[in-house]
Amino acid sequence: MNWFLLFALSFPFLTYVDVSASHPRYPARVYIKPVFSLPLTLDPVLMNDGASQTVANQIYDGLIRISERMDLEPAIAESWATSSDGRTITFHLRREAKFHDGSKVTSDDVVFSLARAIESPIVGSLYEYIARDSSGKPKLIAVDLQTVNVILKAPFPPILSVLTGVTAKILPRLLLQSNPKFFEAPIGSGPFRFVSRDETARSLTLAGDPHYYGGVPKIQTLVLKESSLPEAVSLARSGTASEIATHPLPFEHEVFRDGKRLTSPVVATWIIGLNIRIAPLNRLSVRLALKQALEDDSYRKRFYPDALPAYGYIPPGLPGHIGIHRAKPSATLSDSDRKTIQSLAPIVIQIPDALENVTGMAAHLEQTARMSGIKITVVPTQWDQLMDGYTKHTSQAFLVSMNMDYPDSAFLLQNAESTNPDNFSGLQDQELDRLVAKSRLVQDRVERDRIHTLAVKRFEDQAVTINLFHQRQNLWVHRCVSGLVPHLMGDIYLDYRQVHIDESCMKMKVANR
Amino acid sequence: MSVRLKDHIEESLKSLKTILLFASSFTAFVLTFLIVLHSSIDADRSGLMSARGYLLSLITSSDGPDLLRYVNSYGAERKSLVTVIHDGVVIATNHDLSDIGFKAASMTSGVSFLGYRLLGGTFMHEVPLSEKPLVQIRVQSNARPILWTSLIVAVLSTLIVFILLWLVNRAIGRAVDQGLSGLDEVVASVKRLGQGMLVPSPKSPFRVSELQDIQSSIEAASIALEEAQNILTESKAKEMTARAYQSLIHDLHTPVACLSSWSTLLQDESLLRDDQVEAINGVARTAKQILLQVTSGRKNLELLEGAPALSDIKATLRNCIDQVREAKRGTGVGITVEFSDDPMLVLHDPVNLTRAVVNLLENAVDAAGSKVSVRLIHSNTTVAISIEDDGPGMAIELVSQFLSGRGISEKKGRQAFGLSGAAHIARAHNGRIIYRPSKTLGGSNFQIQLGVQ
Repeated sequence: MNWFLLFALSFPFLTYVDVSASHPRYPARVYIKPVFSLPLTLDPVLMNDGASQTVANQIYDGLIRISERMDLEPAIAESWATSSDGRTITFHLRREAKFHDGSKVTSDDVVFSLARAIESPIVGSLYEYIARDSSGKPKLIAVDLQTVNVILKAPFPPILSVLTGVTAKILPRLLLQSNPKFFEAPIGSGPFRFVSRDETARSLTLAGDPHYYGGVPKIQTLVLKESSLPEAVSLARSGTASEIATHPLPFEHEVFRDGKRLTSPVVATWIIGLNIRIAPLNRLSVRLALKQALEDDSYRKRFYPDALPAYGYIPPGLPGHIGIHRAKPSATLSDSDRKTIQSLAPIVIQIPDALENVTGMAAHLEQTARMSGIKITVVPTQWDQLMDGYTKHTSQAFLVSMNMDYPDSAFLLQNAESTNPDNFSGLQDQELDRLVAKSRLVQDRVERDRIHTLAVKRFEDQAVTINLFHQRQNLWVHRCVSGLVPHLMGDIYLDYRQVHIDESCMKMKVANR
Repeated sequence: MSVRLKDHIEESLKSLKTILLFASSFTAFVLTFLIVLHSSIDADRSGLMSARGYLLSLITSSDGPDLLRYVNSYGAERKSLVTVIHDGVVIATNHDLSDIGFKAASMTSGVSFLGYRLLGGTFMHEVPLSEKPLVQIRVQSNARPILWTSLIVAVLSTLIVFILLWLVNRAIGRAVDQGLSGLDEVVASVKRLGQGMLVPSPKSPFRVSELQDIQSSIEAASIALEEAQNILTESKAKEMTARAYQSLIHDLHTPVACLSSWSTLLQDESLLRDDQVEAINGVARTAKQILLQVTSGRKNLELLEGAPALSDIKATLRNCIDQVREAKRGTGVGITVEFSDDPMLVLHDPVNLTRAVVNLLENAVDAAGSKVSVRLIHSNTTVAISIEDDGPGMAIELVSQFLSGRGISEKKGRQAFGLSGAAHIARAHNGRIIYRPSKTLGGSNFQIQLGVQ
């Protein structure tokens, strides 16, 4: 499973719950980051939620890092080179890179970690382009302690982007193999080390690693505090929270009256996923009717007016993106189909109950569908239950934000592959499978875009997603916090290495309260 | 107020130098600014256009990440804000990510010139990458580096021009010094000769007043040299006259001795008749020879006579008196001068006039009892030198004989040529010699009257 869900919406007219009285007081140097949930796992190859990935990006480092502007930057690998045939990529590791226990990061750890991801039944499909030897093992070669060769089946342009993802984090082989409970207190080589997880306080504490090769983070302690949006806003208003980044905020949210607002686009698409395994969504006509009804942009205009309208599944700026000129689905409903749809039982759409205005949103969606003669029931659902229904494919429809592990259309398209266990829709389309597989082997940029466009069009024609909008993130940041830069890949990639809390500013604010 | 020559030159060039400095600075600034701006923009244009195919493939294939990477890399390298605009919508930028997905702001504000736009300390221009699809790349560069570069070049240019002007100024100074070095020597010489003052060191600059002094000194020196030349000429004339007299005396010595011998023979009563005749004839031949030599000597002397010159006649008289006083020292005769010291310029030949006056004055001293008086009488048409003595005087009837050279000197017992010579010189000066008994001293009174022109 390789897409990440964000379960939160908010509205300018929210009724806030004052929870500041119950907030624990943190020292001024502690950075408080409200998250909608604590991570479900700290194992990179099992991660399927934003909270987990957020933590993973702080604890672990990969070979390469993607900057907030999509630049590929050295991480554990200080340099890399591609062979003339484009099939071998040689990574040279930093000698100063160390895990949090002080042991050096070696090529052995790199080979182990990448092989573990490649062989994972969950994320392995991401690495199909890596060659395998006669015994079926991935061709990852530790040339020496600081050099690793990655052998590809064929040149694959986005390989470096793939290696910036969470699944490609480097783990300490010996520690992981010797400790079955490694991920309860994981050791990585990222800028922050794991300190503790408090289930009672629903918080997770990280600390800046003093031996980090990229310099000691300016934040000494980073606390992820599980909070709903109202709680996060309350924490912000009380001066406790340092940021609100995980929870989506409208541009005009009241919280921005105090503090700073950071705005940027993000490569994410909000959709209502349709599970064709459950009737009547197994019928294309029903899915098309629902898609045409709800894809009228009214949802975006009402709740997220600063977001970009979605004309397709792929966000802007990625191959296969369908812009405003996209033709509507050619399929049209016959009168018999309409009569059939009207006679059906309501289609159940689960939306995260963490949304404070879930009632208003539910009413809007139901009314919009009803105007087209379609009966739907919007059910606010707890996040874990929604995830459970998603993974077990028991949910009929669900509202999610499709974030990306690396900025390539292939990442999103693979969700539609028949063989992918993360295929949320249950779509079985051999032509689509062929196009997605073919796109992985095409080096020519324009040709790859053409194939992606064909695949996306076919995907859209199957109407397994109702594309609501392409998100723009509005981050709230405490006025005493500096150095935080929005990331085009979304909040899970925020880089906290240069984030700084002005203690004198914090003390002044406390004194003024 | 004295002004140094160099200061004068510098003062004259000051405004020119200032204008030159400002003009060079301004020109350098403007030219550098335009060149740097143009080259910067041209570099953008050519750089982006050279990557046109690649960029269009990124745009048409919707490869946002690679497009962003290119824009980030290009912007970082060029230190510029780069925005890619596709059909009016921002699709990539290395500036504010929140602009992505929105319509690009129009380039209407700010100051536009030469296709560039100056806005808030930045220069903005657009590179049209393609018309269909409409793709433009907007590049916004900080104006400060360009302005600073231009300013630095302008300052350096000013410095260089300033140094060049200083060098030119110094060269002019040296040229002036060299040009004035000749004058320095002249001034030094003049001042050493004249006032004995030290001339300023050649290294020391001249002042205008000093130059004026130099000019005056040169003029004075010229006059002095002219006078010296006159004196030299006069002295030379005297010397030549003396040599002429010596030559005349030498030439006359033999015939006169011969004449004396013939005369002795004639007085010998025992001499034979033939011998007497021969002696008489010898006297006649010798006398003729003497006459010829005297005539020749006179002609020579006339040739030596200097041309009359306008000079101080009183000085000539004082010179004559001094000569006579020196020559007649011990005679007990006093010579009284009865004219003032102020100069009187009269056209005359000082050499010959001196001879004439000295002759008359010596005669007067010889004849005087104890007093001789010299006066200068002048009117609009004549100047007369009057010489009187308190001697016995001269009979008027004898005066004409002496003036014609036929008189016999009582003291020397021979013919006296002094008065006739003086009369000859007076005539050469368009004048004459007048004799009358002295009314004041009772002796003789000779006056040399000179015609005044």
